[in-house]
Amino acid sequence: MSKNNNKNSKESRGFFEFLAAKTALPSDALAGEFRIEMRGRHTLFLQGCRRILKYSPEEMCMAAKGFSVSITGKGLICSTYHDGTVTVDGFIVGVNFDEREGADEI
Amino acid sequence: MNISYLFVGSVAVSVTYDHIASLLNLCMYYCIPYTDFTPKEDCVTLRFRLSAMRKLKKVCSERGVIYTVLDYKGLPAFLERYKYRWGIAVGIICAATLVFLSGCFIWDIRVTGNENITSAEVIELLDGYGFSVGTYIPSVNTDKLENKLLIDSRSISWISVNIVGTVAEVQIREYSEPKIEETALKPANLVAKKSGVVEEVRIFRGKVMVKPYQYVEKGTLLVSGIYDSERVGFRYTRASGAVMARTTNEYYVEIPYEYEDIRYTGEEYCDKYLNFFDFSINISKNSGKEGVLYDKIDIVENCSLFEGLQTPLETHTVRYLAYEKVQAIRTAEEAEALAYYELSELLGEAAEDSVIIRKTITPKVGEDSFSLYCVVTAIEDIAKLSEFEVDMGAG
Repeated sequence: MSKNNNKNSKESRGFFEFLAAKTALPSDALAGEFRIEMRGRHTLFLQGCRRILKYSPEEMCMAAKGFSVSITGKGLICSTYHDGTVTVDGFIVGVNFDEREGADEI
Repeated sequence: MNISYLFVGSVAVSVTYDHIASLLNLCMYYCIPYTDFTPKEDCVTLRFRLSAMRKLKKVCSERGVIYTVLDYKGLPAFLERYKYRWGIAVGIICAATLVFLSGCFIWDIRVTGNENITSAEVIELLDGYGFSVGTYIPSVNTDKLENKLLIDSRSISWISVNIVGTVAEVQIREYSEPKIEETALKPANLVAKKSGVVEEVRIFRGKVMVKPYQYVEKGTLLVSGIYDSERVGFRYTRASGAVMARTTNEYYVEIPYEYEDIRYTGEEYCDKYLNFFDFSINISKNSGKEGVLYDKIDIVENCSLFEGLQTPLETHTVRYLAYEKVQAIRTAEEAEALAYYELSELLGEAAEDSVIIRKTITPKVGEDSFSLYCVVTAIEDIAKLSEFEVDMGAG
């Protein structure tokens, strides 16, 4: 029951996200949300990455705020990783969001 | 690879897939930049700056992240490799010092503008004032040097010393004394060099012996260089002036119909040379033009790198167009045109010293040639100097 409640709380918007939506401000700036930007299918920027959980040329998992982002593809490389921003190059097939234990730990 | 890594030095490491995530997290956490992220079959290779590697080594040992150092690159690695070879460093320093110092001394002195004085004499003269090959350039005061040399030297009337790089370009003008010809001091008469009727006499020196409208023969005394005086006796001078007279000159031009002409055979020989400064190298085979009559065409082309930028390298091509002599026949019209052309050339030369006032041309068409007979009446200076010896002891 408690787990369902926790899940519901993550699926529902938080205060800052609600405020960002109402004030038309970007949620990554106001609520500290992560930001993903893709350029074609070969470059992906993830801003707000807290740590890299797993790396292989086929899959790359990164921890963000309360979630983990999994990028699947072929020949993935982590070109740069600095100040919470990861640049992933390679042929990107999919981007998945998972809820994982310990994702917030650094 | 980042080009700055060449100077600051870099190190390549390989990490297994088990530890790569931890290594990347440490890089992010401790702000350690990396480059050349390359996944391999069982590991990933990355390249770090040499300075960052020291920090990474420390944190990796603390966190138990295992990596393998592959290679060191860049200037620090190069210096590290040769740090015990002092000879190389000393050689580099000596070479750099020599290159720097060589630009401070005169390497060559080039003299231009000399005709009677040799370049070696000018260089020796400059050496006397402390300016020679090997002189320290900053110590040279060219203005002072030029002034000193001009004051002391009698053979040089002007000198300019320009130091271009390590070469001293010396331009000089030699001093030449005005020469008085000995013949100009000898007494002389003016005599007629051809017959004519005197029109005008313009005398600067001497005694006039003819009058206007007087007919004079060739060799007639026009102006005498002897003054006869009852008080002082004879005085001699060098008569000078002009005696303008109306003269009659005859010109004859004959153009034969049959003449010798040249005809190009179509054969062409070529020699190619490569010029570098004053050196010339023949880069072609023997053209085999011996015993052949030919016209020669020289073509010199500079091997310039860019437009307007000359180099000391030139290609010199010599083309030889072979010809043979053949007998040819021209028509009467062609002969006439050529005859009038040659006559006009003759009259043009004659008109340089005279004024033509009348000419009569008589053409004649012969069997073998075309001829022109021309009589020209002109006004010209007929005076000619005629020196004479004076026995001073006799007077």
